Amino acid sequence: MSIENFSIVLIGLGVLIALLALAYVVRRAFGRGSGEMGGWEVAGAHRIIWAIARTTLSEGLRTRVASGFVILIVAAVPFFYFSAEGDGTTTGRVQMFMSYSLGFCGFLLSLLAILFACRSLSQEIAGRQIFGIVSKPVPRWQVIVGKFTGVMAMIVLLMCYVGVTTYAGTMLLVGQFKSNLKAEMISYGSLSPEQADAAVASLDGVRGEGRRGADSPIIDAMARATGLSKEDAVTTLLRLPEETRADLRRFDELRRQILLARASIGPEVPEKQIREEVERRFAKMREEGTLPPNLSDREIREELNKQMFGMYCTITTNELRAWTLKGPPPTKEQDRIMSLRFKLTVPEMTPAAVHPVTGEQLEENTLLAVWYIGDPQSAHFYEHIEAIPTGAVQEIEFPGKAVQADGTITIAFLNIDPRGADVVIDLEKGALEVLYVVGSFELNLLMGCMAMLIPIACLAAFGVCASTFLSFPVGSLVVMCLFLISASMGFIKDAMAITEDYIAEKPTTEQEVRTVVIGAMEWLLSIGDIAVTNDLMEGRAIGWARLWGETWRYMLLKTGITLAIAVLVFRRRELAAIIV
Amino acid sequence: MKVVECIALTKVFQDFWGRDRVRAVDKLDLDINPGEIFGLLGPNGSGKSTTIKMLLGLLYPTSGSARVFGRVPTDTAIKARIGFMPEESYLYRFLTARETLDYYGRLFKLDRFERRRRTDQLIEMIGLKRAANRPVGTYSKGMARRIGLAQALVNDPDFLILDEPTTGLDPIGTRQIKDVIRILGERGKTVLLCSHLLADVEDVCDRVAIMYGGKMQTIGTVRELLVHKDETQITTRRLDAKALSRVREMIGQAGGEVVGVAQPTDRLEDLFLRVVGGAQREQLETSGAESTVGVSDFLSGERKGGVELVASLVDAGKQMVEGPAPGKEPVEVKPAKAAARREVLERLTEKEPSPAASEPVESPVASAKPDKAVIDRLVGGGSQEPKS
Repeated sequence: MSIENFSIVLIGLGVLIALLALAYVVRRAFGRGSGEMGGWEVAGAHRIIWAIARTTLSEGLRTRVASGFVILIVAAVPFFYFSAEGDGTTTGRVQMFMSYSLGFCGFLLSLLAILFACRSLSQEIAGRQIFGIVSKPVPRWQVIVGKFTGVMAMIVLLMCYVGVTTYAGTMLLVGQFKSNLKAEMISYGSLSPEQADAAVASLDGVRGEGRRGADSPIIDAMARATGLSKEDAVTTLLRLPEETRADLRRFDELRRQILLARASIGPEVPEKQIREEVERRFAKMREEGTLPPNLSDREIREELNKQMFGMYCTITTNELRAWTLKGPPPTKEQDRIMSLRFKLTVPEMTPAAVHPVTGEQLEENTLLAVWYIGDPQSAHFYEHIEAIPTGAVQEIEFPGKAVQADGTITIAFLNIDPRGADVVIDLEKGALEVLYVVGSFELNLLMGCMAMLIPIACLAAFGVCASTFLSFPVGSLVVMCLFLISASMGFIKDAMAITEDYIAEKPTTEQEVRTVVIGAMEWLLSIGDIAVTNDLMEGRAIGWARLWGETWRYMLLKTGITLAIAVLVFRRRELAAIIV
Repeated sequence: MKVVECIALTKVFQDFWGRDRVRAVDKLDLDINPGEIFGLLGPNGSGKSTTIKMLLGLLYPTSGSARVFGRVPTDTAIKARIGFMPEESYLYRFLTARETLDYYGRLFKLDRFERRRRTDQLIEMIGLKRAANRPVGTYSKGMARRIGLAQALVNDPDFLILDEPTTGLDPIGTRQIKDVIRILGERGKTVLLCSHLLADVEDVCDRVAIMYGGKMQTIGTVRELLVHKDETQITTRRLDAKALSRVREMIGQAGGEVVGVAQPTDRLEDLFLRVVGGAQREQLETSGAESTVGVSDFLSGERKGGVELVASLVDAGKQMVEGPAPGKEPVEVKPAKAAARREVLERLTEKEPSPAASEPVESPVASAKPDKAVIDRLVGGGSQEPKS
């Protein structure tokens, strides 16, 4: 049996098992002798839903299983506050604290939602407390919605706690840095307490492009606040310990790049032109009879496509590559600062060298290059020449006025490295983007917490749905498996070889079957795409549009459909039935 | 209109593969009339609970039909008129008694003041005032049963379904529940009592049915079913041997036959109640349920209000002693209650009239005076007609 046929048989078996499971559920729900419990009354429904939700919430706070989770979450945030070290700087600590606090608590809340939702109804059915509810004038849809609301009320309460404590922890870390800096400015920098106070306070008002050394706007701001000359301010800062100075530089990054919300735009890849070039080269190779005999046409096209894309992303010495980015609104703000975020990859390590013309010392693993930003004809054209460290994400700031009147911005890169190194900017992996501030950190954190609730709401709905026809252990196991599959869907897609890397324009039947099956699984199990922790750590705006898009797709549509299925099953279920 | 009407009601339980395995109820025909206390008897597994669960929509009939207040049991609208006490108290262990009753009150969409009033009265009625703020999970079985009863009454139901209501209760609790059933019956409520404790059913039910194997075996009033039509019982003060032989002689002359002669004894239940009642009068403390009497004011007294209900009961008592007031119809009172009513009336007329009795009071606390519960029990009555 060929590997393709074998995988079709495996997928067929999987589908058969899924259909049998579905048939079981349908039989349980719509079997002989089933009735329909209650109508769809909506008058006064909110009172009953809230009554059920309140009791569910009380259960969560008073029973041992759920309250164990609550204690764990309550203790986790302070623990991460004290244990987060990062790279030793305030920025590192803040990033690590946010990452652990939100990541860990988000994971715990997901588990809690699954267990609590699966338990809520099935335990009441098993313990027969449900008799006390459905023997009252309570339509069953209200029971389902009440249970879901109760579970979500608890999750929202805990999420509020996580959000507030994460914010408080972040601000405490920042405050701790400022008070240390103030103390060191007094002891090492010989500033008076008032001057030190003013210098520290000036950090929050630093404007202008972030530059290194004496050109840094931090120096200007401090000099203005303390009444010192710029040279004296530099001298004062140089008296501080090296770690404190590094921390101060990173703190400015923290303030400019993390503790705010920035939107991003990237260049468009000219896919059409690349495809045309691939076809042109393929036709030429065929004409010349140089097509590799051991590869299929599809594989040859794939290879050519990779080559073309690689060529597009590679900039050789003295080559200039320009991109036009659409999106950032033309600004009227005088001091609006934007950032160019990029990552240069050099295939081979560049050794340390001296520039043959300027005599400038070039460190190893750097690349001498120029960034041109804006319209060269405009007064707001910006140029940045630097030996840029390779292999790590870098940011340079430029005035927002570089955005042209039509809302586009032109970015060009000139590789002038004398060592002859080629550089790759991998556009597919987002190695080039322009970021600009659109909101505050507080609002972004709030949106982040709201975004974290979306997948949890889906899991809670899955749990409540499972609890209408499965016992607690079985239901929670099933939903937990769905959660794990959903979380590892990227890996599954890779493993099943259905990503774009593998699928050509004309896929085989077996590939199509795989694509459909995995696509259906992905649609059914996806519960949200916002990587909240990463976005917050990089100061990326979550954005109302994205939040609403996710809310609509997952929280309203998918959760709604899941709860509707739960209601249909529960309405027809005989709650006192015995299986003999 | 019948409160319950079952026609050929059948319930078959199936196995995992859908094959019929147990015929729990088999073509059951059953009618329960308004205002009736109906007892459903039968050994374990005879189909009593299954029938009740079909009447509540917890199970769906395999065939036949069941109607409650003329509608199918799955219709949630009728649930507002039903109170259900299951065979065990399936309560939320983490809620207190007060929270439990408040929760069930919310399910009937009662407003906050009404919930508080009813909760207070019910907790007093079932004697759990001291334990009202303890989680139900810490209760003894009997205390939990009392909460089970209270939650069944929170909506002032027209039709009360009690499944094994006295299971797990001490004799005092059993007597209280029987008193409550009796009083509710007198107030025009319909009660379906399902039990295998025959004494309970015999004491309170107007009509009983006996089920076995899912089928109805017999049905009728308690008297019809229990009376020995070919025997006569005479009860006298103690007679000596000589008098007894003369009585035997006379009976023989009249063509009768003496089947047995014995001294009557108390029932153990009566003795127990006397002993414990004495201890309670001495106010010995207990951490469990306290003994109370009567039912809460709101139960079927809603149309009149708590204070007006008391006034109407006093009127009823006066009619017993003095005859009906001009222009008023006499209230029909069972003869057995007459002496008790007279006694209560004498006690009431000795006291100054309470200021609260002269005008309606809306405060739930003010309307929950303990004396009224005593009056309720002794005088009976209240609403003489079932609610429509």
